[in-house]
Amino acid sequence: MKENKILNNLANLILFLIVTIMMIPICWMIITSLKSPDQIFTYPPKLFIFKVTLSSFKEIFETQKFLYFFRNSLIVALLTTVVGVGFGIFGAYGFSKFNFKLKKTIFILFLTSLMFPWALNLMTIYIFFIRVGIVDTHFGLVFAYQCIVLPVDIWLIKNYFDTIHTNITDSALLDGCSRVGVLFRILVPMSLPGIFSSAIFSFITGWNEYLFALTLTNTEFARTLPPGLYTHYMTFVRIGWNGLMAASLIATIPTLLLFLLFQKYFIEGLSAGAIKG
Amino acid sequence: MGTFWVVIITLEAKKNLLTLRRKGIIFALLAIFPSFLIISVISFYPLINGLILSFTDYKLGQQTPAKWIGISNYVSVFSSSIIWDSLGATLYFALMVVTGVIVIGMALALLLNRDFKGRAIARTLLIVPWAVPFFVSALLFRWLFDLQYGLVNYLLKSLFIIRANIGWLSQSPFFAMLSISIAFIWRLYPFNMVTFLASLETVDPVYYEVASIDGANRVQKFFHVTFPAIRNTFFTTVILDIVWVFQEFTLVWIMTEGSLKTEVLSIFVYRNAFMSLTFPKAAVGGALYCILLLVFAVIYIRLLLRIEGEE
Repeated sequence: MKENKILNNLANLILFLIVTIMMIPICWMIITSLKSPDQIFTYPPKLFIFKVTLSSFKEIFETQKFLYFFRNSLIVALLTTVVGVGFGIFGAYGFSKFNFKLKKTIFILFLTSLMFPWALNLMTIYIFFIRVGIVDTHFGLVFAYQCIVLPVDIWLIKNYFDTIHTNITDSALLDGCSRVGVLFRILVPMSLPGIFSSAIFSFITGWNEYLFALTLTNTEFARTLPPGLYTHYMTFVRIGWNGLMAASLIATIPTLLLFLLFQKYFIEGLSAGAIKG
Repeated sequence: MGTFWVVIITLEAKKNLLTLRRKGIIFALLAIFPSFLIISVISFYPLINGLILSFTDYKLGQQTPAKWIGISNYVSVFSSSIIWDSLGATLYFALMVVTGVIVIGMALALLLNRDFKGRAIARTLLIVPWAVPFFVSALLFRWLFDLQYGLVNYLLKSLFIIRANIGWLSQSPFFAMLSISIAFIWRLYPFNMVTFLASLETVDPVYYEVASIDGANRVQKFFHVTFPAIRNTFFTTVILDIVWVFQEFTLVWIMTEGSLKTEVLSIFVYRNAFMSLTFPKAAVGGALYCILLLVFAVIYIRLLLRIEGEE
């Protein structure tokens, strides 16, 4: 028993150390964002005692550019979520509750498409977007993101639909409920964790994505935060790390909030997928 | 007489159900069609077209159709060392990062899978890196590894581990690869931790008691009880890790832009396509990339089918 107690304390100590190490980058981001430019470029860096200033944040909100990128990111991420989850719910219904030829093959093709090299696909998407004239639009980005979002959404939601027995849906059908009714009155309400986790996944993808956003937006019209911040701040001779970290911190808030608020659903939905395969 | 009607009614109901099922197929196809169309246009078609591009002399914006020139793009790309360095860097990151996240993810999952005060706080804090947008973590690590004013050099110097500042992202391929791997691991370990932890929680404690009675020690318990129980989750997670590392662009691009031999395949393709505007050359890199990913895709599908079969 005594040995167990020592081991337990040792485990707690190790855990504490790892948590501390993993938190260092976040703390550094916060500290940097609260410094003035001249405090950034001093050595040794002041970690705890320095003059706290909110000038970096003020500057960000005054330059408009940041707000503009932020707005674009929000539009793109929200639309990506709506489109992905919307089609995802119907797709999951089709794959989960019906039997037809090639069902398994199509489903596996969908999942495999996640492993296609995106950089390669991007060339054709770019050519196609130029021809159709949707380069530099929010719609174009939302459309392109569906190649990442849609298969995952279908998969996450399908995992939940699969747990609901066909007896329930069949008897509702025999009672004269329409198929869309079955979907939205029975399946969707019973699968909220799956739908939540796919919504969070979609939003985060739209919010985070860099490569497509960089390539498919030439001007600042539809440019989202990831390429926006990089190109905006990295052009200076000396990178304004305080401003960049302040902007990064604000860019982190939406996804962090989603994680903290819906952690339970997200983990549940995701592990339902991963455990099942 | 009563039973007769019951039989008739059940038969009738069965018939209804069958017609419903048949009509259902049309509905199912309609439900799947939009997704199928979207994925075809932005996934399947681009992949095939991209592979075709690698055999042509396509130039962006040219009016005449591209000419088929066989494998000459392949010959020119593979005869330079750049593509081999790219392949090397991609495989290096896959090995380093995946090993790192498995070890850290599993260790943390095991540490968290106990009863102790502050468990919820520790778990939440450990998930936070996952919630940080990828481009933010990339920028953040570039700043952490800054030559003059970065925190990493400062901390290592104060702890007397190094004497002079290390140019993490500017000195040598070794340090550049190492810094990117560290950033990668920081970003990817929470996913592993969460899936491992979730599957550990499903293991029935009775098995551990039985193992204890049989006199198994901790290590034996892990390999004979825990691991077999979470095997499927473990392999699914590892495959997803590998694929994510292969697909990664943001982190490497923001930290080094592919300098110091860190040019992974995704950057090779991007640079050739959108900076040099040589699409066919980029497509050759993409084809190599495809073969790599295909290997893991096949393993993944077999795993999925096996798991489905076990149920």
